[in-house]
Amino acid sequence: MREQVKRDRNSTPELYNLARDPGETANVAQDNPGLAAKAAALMKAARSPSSEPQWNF
Amino acid sequence: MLPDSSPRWALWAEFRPHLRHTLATQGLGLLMAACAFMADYPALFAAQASRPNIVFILADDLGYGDLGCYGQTKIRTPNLDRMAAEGMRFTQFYTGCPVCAPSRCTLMTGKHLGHATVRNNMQRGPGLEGQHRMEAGTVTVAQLLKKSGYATAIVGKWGLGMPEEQSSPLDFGFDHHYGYLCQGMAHTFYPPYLWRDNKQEPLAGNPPYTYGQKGPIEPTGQTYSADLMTEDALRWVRGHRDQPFFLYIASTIPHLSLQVPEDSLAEYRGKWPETPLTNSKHYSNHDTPRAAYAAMVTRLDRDVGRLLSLLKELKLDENTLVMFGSDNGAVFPLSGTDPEFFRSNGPLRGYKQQLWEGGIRTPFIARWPGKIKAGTTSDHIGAYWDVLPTLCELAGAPPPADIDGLSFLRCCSADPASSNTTTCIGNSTAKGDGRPSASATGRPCASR
Repeated sequence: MREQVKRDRNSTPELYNLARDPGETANVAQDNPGLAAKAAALMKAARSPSSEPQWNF
Repeated sequence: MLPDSSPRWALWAEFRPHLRHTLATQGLGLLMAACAFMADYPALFAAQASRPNIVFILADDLGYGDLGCYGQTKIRTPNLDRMAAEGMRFTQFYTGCPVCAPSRCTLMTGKHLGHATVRNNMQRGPGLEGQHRMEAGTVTVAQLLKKSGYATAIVGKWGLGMPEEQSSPLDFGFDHHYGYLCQGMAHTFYPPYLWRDNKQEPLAGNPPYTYGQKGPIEPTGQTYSADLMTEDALRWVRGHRDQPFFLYIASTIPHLSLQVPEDSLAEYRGKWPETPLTNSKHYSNHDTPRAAYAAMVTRLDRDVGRLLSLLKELKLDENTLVMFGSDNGAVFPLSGTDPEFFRSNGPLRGYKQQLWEGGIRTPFIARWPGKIKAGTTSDHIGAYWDVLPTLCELAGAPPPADIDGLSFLRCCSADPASSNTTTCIGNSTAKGDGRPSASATGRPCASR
């Protein structure tokens, strides 16, 4: 998950282990840098421009 | 003005289930590809075999924990609990977005929010009825099913544009619409009119509603919109019993305002301590907000029960797939809602408008007697952009090539005669590209 992307395009992804932590209390991104980087790349790649300017960021 | 556009919550980027989906896919790809080739595609789901009817019921701001079958202890939902007991209950199903309009857009188009035409709630203009339109040329599940011979209707809230911008339900594949076109007006259950096939139809005895009006909404009127919409849905099913039909019921319950007729409220009034709501800014006030919320959910449940009874009466029960979900999680405490009291989002963190699980995970039930094994639970990770390819596969309609969704039909196809180890890990036959659609855990997800 990445929050506040509109303010910071390179905000750090957060990762949660839902199997162990369904309430999302512990961000495990630091312990899984590879996975977090993969997630960030995937998020960037999974977008196409929108015809509505407000939805492009 | 509206909570949906609150800057406190509204900024989000990508949608996690897509991420998990893909990460899981990469890790387990080889295994799953092998399984996909070995899996026997159940004949009973073969495309065009039976042309089943499809009813998709979408609740509005209903949380993951609001139904008895998902752990709710205070609010009575006997019909939805029975629907789950007679079908499959998904524990890791996701909406398209933590807010209304884009979630509905993913449901209609099979595209996630990185590609969808509507990516946030946005009024189409100050003081105007209706939200941002869908782009011309957008392909919807209703168009695809209609093209393959289905009668199509949406009863309830649309939220994806207006007729004057060529973005009404009738512009996007629905033969019939009755209900709200605009999410703003849907904030009152006593609107001055509802839309029938792009024409306004006045409702008797209801107060006026002005876009951008200051102050709270009138708490009552004479005609409760949800009741009329339910009647219209039932009537439409009766009228289309002899052909394959796709009915999308987009209920506005239990979204604010807290408004519910006395015959439902009576069950809960006095049951819990209440703090009367007297200062709502944009919704209506209520003397017993907790009772009102519970009564609304139980009334929705009653209406689902009426639909299921009708399908049985018309002997359509065994040829109709009924799905039920919510457009996003329960709303944070606002204008009388009390999600902590009800544990509306169960054990999950966060609310509507947030990307925490509580904002996006939805109760999701699929029922099809004789085809979906009764009383089963699935941990398949799916999302609303998977609905279009799933329904297309069911109807034998080819989905567009540029969608993001993957059919989860196979996950519903637990053979009633098989053991509890039926696997649903398989490729998307609807897309035919060999991409796996699978549980992130790699565990069998059809039945346990």
